Amino acid sequence: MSADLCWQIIRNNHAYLVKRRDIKKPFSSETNNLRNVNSPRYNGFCRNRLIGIEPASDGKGIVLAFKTRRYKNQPAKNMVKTTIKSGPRRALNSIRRFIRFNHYRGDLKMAALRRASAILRSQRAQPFKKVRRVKRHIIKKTE
Amino acid sequence: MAIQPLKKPRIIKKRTKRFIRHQSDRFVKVKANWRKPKGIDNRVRRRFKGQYLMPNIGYGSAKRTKHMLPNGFKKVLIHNVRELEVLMMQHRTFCGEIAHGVSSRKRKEIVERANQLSIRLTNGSARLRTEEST
Amino acid sequence: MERGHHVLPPSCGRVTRQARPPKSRVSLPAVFRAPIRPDVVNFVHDQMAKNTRQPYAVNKDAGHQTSAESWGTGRAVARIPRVRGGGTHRSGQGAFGNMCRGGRMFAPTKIWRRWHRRVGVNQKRYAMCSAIAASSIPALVMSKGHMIQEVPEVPLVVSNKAQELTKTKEAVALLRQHHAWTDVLKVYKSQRFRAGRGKMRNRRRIQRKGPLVIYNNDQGLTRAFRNVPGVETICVDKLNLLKLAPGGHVGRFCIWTEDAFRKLDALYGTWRKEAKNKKGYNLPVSKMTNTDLSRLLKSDEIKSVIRKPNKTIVRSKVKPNPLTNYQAMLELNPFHRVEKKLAQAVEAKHIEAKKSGKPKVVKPAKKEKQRKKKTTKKTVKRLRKQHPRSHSGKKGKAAAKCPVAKV
Repeated sequence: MSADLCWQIIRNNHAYLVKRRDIKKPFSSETNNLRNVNSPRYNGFCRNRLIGIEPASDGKGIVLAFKTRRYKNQPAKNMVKTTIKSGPRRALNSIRRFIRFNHYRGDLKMAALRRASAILRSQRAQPFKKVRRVKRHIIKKTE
Repeated sequence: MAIQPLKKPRIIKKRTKRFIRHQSDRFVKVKANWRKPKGIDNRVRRRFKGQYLMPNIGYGSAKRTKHMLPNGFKKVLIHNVRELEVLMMQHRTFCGEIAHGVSSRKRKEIVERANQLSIRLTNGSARLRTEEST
Repeated sequence: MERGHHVLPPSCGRVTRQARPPKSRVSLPAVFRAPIRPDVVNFVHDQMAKNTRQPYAVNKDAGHQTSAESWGTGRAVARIPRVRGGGTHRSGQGAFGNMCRGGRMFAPTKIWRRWHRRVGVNQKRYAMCSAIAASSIPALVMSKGHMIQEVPEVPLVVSNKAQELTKTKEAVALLRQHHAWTDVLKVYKSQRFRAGRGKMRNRRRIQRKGPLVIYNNDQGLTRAFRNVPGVETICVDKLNLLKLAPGGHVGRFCIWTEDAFRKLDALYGTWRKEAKNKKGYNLPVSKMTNTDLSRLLKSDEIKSVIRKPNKTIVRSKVKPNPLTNYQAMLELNPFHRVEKKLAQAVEAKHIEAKKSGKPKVVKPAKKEKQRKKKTTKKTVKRLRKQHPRSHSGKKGKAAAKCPVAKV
């Protein structure tokens, strides 16, 4: 079945649709949706080619997932996942190179890079900041 | 510094006063909450000079600044960390607000994760202080 | 799809440890290529879901058990029927109306409401085919929320030995083996109390739906699976849309036993052959042969008919007022530069004259004007020499053109 028809079936009703008050374009929380937006371009199920970027399970690095052309009916084999543990510069470059040299969803390049860098940023040196925040609160309280 | 919105247009409110219900000043039982007058002779309905103004669509905010908070963000209600993750890629347009029923223990988790993802919360410090003061 | 479908061996406790029987293959029944029409499925589901309703109504006499009568006009009270007599608080109170205390409800519900719906057989079958076809598309199944990321194949077909399972333990092992257990785990996670009054109406707990196991011959399978939360079992001969498309939305995760899978062609037919088990029935034909929009738009047939994409972007330009904007004026009138200079010179002179305290006389002013006219031409020449740019634009263009013309 074509991706277009699939999208038409899904678009108004799926398990990951997040509708909120005062928000015109609903969000979508499925994996492989790079911008978490409910739209045909970013949808994480329908398209024949997909890019997904998620944080690695141990909280360091990212997992780059993409859909292969083969094994359409075999979900276990269909998505290929590679964990990128190298530093942010290398990680971003490898995503960039993957997209460019495979001619794979060039339209998602910026979104993929943005997501990857957002994830990498979130994994970086946060605890330090957090400790300071908490301390400040405590001081305020005691005063 | 807290994260700032991507675009912060000037928010123009065409009217900041409330619309008052006709004759709410006369009777206690008639509340000030707006009700459209329906009477055949009603002078407010007929828009006579010097009467209360009636709300209409022309008072609506511009599309760009509709639902926008004074800080330039749009607000999304958040119940748990999972819902927060959705905002990851739009953290410069949307900010989160933790729902009122969320406990302080879970609030802490949400605030922590929001810090990591640099998502702004409108009520990030709520219920965290009271706990420490006791 | 044409390559055929694996039938996966079931594992049941001890059996897994033995050498696995080789995978056999079944061809994909034609139903799985039937058109998927969510609108038909939704409508049929909606109608069918109404057929299990039980009639209810308020008592037909409720609110009408008084002999109330209206007092008519002239008593300065509303004309609503009022309870007759005296000696009790009730007398004189309004009755019957839906706005009255103790009155009947508005439009009292009746047991003869149209509770059930008749749905056309062909329509029902269409919906069924759609639901089956949708259950074979991973994208649809996943977007319905089923956890099938690790499932080896969709539709999932297991060998007939699954029908012989009698123990829940074996059933769980089967689900685990085919990675369908993640879906059941999600069911476990979703178990919660219902929100609202339904709690006190015997609908206390809710959970999401897990996989649907479809068998041909129940040799203990239903009993093996019945205590696994979320999992439902159903016979191929009695497929039910309410189970295959719960909520009216297609894409339930289905696990077929081999025999059940093989039976589908006989049940629904292929386009070449009528259905064996249904009289004069064949699969619905889809309206479009190709639904790939980007492919269609790129096809020569369509390309030749439609116009080219309009790619030029027309940006709105600001049109400056030449009377107030100097540059805009220069574009219209390059000589404006000179004119302005002149005007300024004249003005400066006037100011000078004013400062020096010379009385303004009308006559000399006229003379001055005449003189000025003469001087203007001179000044023009002077200014042109001083500011060759104001003219060089034109000259330059002409000069540039000349050699081209010569060549």
